[in-house]
Amino acid sequence: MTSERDIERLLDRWFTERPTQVADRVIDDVAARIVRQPQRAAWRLRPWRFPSMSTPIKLVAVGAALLVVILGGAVFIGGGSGPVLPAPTATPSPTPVASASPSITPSTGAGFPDWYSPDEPPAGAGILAAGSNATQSFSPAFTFTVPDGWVGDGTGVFSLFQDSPVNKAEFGRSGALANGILMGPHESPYFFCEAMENNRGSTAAEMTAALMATEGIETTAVVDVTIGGLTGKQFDVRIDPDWTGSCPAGPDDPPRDIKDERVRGFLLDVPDRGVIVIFVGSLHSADHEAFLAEAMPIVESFQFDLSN
Amino acid sequence: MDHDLVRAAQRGDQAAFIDLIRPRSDRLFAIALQILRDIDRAEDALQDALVIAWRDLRGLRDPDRLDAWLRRLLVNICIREASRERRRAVNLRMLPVDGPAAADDLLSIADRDQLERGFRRLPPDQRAILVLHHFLGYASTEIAETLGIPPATARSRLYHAHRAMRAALEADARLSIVGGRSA
Repeated sequence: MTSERDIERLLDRWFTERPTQVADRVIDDVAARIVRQPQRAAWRLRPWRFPSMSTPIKLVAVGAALLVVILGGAVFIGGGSGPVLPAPTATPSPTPVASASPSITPSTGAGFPDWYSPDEPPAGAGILAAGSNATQSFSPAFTFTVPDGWVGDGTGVFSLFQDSPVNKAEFGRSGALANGILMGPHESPYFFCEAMENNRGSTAAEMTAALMATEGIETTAVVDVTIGGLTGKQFDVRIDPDWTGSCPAGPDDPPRDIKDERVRGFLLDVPDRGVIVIFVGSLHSADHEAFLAEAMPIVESFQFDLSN
Repeated sequence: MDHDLVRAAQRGDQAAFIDLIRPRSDRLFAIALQILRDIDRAEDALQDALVIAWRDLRGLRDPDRLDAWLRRLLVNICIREASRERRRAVNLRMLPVDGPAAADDLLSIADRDQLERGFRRLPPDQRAILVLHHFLGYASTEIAETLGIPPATARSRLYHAHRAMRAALEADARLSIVGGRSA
């Protein structure tokens, strides 16, 4: 019974399939559980170990680190991100920067950098024209101003990132972006590790307090901020260098050094609709200051339209 | 049809997701059962895998990959669950996974018992590899894809899993003789 070939034959017979039926209650329980389980936005997912996928996955936004879960956010805000369109000329430029002749031609698929593979991008997403742009369906709608070389994308969340060598290299390596701006509605975002953070709250202040109380998370002093007409909290956040815990990875999560990641976070109250989060983040701390210098003028150019 | 269900489920349609998984659930359950050898744990692993599948479904770009993707999720969860089981060293109830032997079955009850004991001695990843190869009929490339390892590593691990199974059976046979049982 123990020769090599015998073993294989025995196992072939032993594993011969017999009818096996799962109890109905198992699937019924799954149906009950998924009611409480929000789906993750596509950008948060990185099935990069799937050999059949010829292109590295999609929109991943600023790496796993910035992979903020927009858990159930649509309930509060009533919609995800949407296509990016140049702002209409009728919109007065709120700042001198916006005088960089906003485009009036709706983008119908401006294309993406050749190194980047979006996941079913909404119409209009892609490389942005320099100047003033507007989201088409992000709620609340907003306008923003970008220089040359920026890209907009998002399904479920909205992201802005540069067509840059560092993003290209990181995307080729891990399927994530090295630096980027992400935003979306949420009721329980996390900044570095879903398993260790429970930043729940119904206001920006409550969520910020929860974040600051999280073991292993280190934040700068929180300041009050107004972005595009919305008020909230701003802070810089990272993993405490002395933290000795670990972040359990999911089956699909690639290994990453969360201690090297840096995020500037904004939590903004949207009256009667909940909170949106904006992340300006870098996978690698060495990139962060330079990226902040380029990204913050864009964030500061946001103008939210609360009438929709 | 499945493409439509996948797309609908990716847009958040829970009923579509259940319609998608229900016809696949018996097969998936069988895989979990073969690896874990325990009905309760197999049910738990299947449920966990399906909930994760729901959570991450938007990341599935190619609906044709759904079955492979589900199996990969499930096998990884089973390996994790089997590792916990080994750490806890609990006494699991014997699994009636094969049911009563059919008339044309060439394996005796004693062989089955011996295989069961031998299989349970294996590390979880070796159990999974044997199930993928002998139960699902996977070649090393498919095993590699499922476990996220290079094909050469899959071949090597399969070889070692066979050797480990052989050693486990021989050890069981020796114990049987010492204990007065006949194998």
